[in-house]
Amino acid sequence: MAFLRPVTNRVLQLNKVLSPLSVGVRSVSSTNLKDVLANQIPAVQKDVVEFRKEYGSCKVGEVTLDMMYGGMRGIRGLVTETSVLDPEEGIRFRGYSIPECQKLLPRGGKKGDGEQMLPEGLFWLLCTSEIPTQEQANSVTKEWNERAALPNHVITMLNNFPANLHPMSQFSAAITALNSESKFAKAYHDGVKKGSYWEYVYEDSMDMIAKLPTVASIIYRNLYRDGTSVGAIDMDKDWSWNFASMLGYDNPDFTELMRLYLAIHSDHEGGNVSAHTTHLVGSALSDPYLAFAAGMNGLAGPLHGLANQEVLIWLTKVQKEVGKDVTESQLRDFVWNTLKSGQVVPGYGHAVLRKTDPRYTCQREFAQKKLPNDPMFKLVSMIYSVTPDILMEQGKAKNPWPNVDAHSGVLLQYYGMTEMNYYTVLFGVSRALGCLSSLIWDRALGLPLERPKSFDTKGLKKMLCK
Amino acid sequence: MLIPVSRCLRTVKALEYAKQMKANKQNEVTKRAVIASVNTRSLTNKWSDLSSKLFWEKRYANSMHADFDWLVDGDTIVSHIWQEIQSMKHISKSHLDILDLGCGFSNVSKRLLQLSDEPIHYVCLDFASEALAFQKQSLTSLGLGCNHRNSFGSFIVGDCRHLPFKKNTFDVVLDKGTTDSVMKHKTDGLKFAESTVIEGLRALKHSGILVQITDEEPDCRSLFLESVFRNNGMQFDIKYRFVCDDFGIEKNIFFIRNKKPS
Repeated sequence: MAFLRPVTNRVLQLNKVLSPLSVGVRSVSSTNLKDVLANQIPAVQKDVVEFRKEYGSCKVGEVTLDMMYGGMRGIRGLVTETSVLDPEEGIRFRGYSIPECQKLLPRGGKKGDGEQMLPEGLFWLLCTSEIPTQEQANSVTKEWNERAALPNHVITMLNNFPANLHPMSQFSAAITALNSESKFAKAYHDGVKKGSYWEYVYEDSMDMIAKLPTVASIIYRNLYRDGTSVGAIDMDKDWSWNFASMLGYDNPDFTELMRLYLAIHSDHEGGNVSAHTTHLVGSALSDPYLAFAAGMNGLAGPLHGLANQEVLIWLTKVQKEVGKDVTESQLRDFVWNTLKSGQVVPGYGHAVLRKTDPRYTCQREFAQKKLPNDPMFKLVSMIYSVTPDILMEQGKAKNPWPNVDAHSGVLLQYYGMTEMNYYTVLFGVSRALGCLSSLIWDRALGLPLERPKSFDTKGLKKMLCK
Repeated sequence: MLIPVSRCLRTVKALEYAKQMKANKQNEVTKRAVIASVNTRSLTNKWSDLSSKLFWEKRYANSMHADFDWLVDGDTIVSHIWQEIQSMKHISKSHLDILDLGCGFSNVSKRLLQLSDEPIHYVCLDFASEALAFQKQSLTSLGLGCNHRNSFGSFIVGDCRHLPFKKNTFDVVLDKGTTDSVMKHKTDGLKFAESTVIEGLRALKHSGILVQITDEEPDCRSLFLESVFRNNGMQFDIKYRFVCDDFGIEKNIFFIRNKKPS
C-alpha cells in the first residue's frame, strides 16, 4: 500500500492537468466505431452551432441566372464533411489525399501485409476523420462479415429478375426491398428522439454496406454465371476478399484490385448525383436503404456512373480500327480525327484538377505492376500520352488530364470481368462508403429537410428585366 | 493513506491516456513526414514547359504557329468582351487602354482593332520578343483596316509577374491562358499565378475589368481567385460565363471587377 502513494501522487498531479478529459472518457483507442462516433458527435455539433452563430449570415458566393438554368453548377449549397476536392492533390478523404491514404491506411492480407488499403479502414476514416489502426479496420471487417446475410425475400426477388433487367436496376430494386430490415424506419415509427437518429442510421448503414457485396454478387452470378451459388462469407477474410470470392474470382491480384477500386470510388464531395441524392432523400427521413437506392438510380444515369463503361467501349472500337500493334503516329491521327469530327476522347474530362487525377495514377501504377504487357493497357497508355500533346499542339487546352475512368475498365477486363454493363454496380458498392458515412453525419448534425427555392422563367424575367 | 479504489482506477486510466497521447504525438510526426514525402508534384516535363520562357521563344521562332489562338479564337473572345468594352466608353476619356497579358500570336488584337469604332490603345505584352515581332507585323499590316484611325498598338517585352506599368493604367486586362501557363511551373506555379493576377489588378484602373479565359474548371479557378484576394486583402467581384466546349474541354471566361465603386 505504501509504495502506491508516491506513484499515485505523481499520477494525480498529471491527472490534474488532464482531469477534464480523464473522467468518463471512453477508451480513446476503442475498436468500436459506434463508440468512437458517439464520443465525437457532441463536440462537433457544438462546434457547428457556434460557427453558425457567428458567421451564419455571411455570404459564401453568388447565384446567377445561368447557374439556375445550368444545373446549379458553381452554386455553393451543400455541406459534406467526408471529402473535399483539392485542385492540386485530387480528392481528399477527411483531408487525406489518395496517395496519403495509400501510405497511412491499414492494408489487407493476413496481418495487414497486403499491397492495397482496406476499404474498411477508409470507411473508418470517413466516419471519424481519424486514421484507423489495423485493429480498428479489422473490427469493421468483423462487423460487416457478421451482418452480411440477406433476408430470403430479397434473394427470391433477385433470382426472379429477368435476364434483360439491367444490373443497376436489379441492384437498386434489391436495396429498396432491403428496407424491410431498416432499424431507422422502425425506430422512427416508434417515436425515438431526434438526437438518437444517427445511431439507427449507423446501424442501417453498417448492415447495408455488409449486404451490398452479397446482393451485387447474386446479380452477377444470375446474369453471367448461370445462377451459380455465391458461396459463404469467410469470417476470417476482409470485405473485398469476400466480394471477389462471391463473384467467383480467386486471383489474389483481383482481390487487391477490388480493395483499391472500392476505396478510391467511395466518395467525391457532396454535389455529385449519387451523393447528393442520398443526402437529399435522407433529409426527408426516408430510411438509409431508400435514400441510397435513390442514389443508385442516379448513378445508373449515363452522365454519372457509366463513364468507365464508355471508355472501355471506345477503347475496344479503337483497337478494332487501328489494330493490335498501332504506332504512335497512327494513333495520333486517329485521335486527331476523332476530336476534329466533334467527338470527345472518353476518359478525358475537363480540367477539374491542376494535374493528373491520383485516382488515374494509382490505377495506372497498379496496371504497370501487374499487367504491363496487356495490349489494352498499352493502348490506354499511348492514348493518354498522345491526347494531351494533340490538345496542346492545337491549343485547345492547357489543363487536359485524363480522369479516373480511363483505366478501371481495362483493369477489370484483364482479370476476366468483361461484362461492361456490370461495372457501375461495382462503383455503386464503393460509393456506399461515402454516401452512408455522410448520411450518418447528416443525422448526427440534425441537418433539416433540403428544399431550395425554384422559379419559373416568367418570374425570373419579372425579377431581372428592366 | 488508504487510497479509494475508484481513484486508483482513475489514475490507471490517466496513465493509459497519457501514454496514448504520447503515442498519438509520435504518430502525428510520422504521419506528417509520410504526407510530406508522398505529395510530390508529378507534372510531365511537357506541361511544365508552358511556364518556361525558352519553350515559348522556340515555339514563336517557328512562324507556322502564326495566327494561333490558345483555347478560344479571337472572334469568339471579342464577342464575349464586346458588351463590357462598349459600356466602358462612357467611363473613359479619349480612348480605351487594353493590355493583352501574354499575347502570343493571338488574333484578338487584330480583331478588336478591326471592329472597335472607338479608339483603342492596345498593348501587347509577352516575355518572348518573337511573339511581339509577330504582333507588330500583324497590326502594322492592318493599317487602314483599323476601324478607328486613332486606334494603335504597342509592343512591350515584359514578365506578366512583374509588369512594367504604373498602377491604374488599363481599362481592360486580358489574360487568355496566361495564368494557366504560369501555373504549370513545377514548384512555384501557384505563386507565379498569384503574382500574375495581382499584377494584372495593380495595372488595372479602379473601374477596369480583368478578363481571364481558361479551361480550368470554374469552381477551381473561383476558389483560386478568392484565395488570392483573401491573402492580399483585396475586394474583387468574380463572374464567369461558359464560352465553348470543343474537343470535350470546356472553356470559361471570367470577369473580375472591383467591388467598391470608386
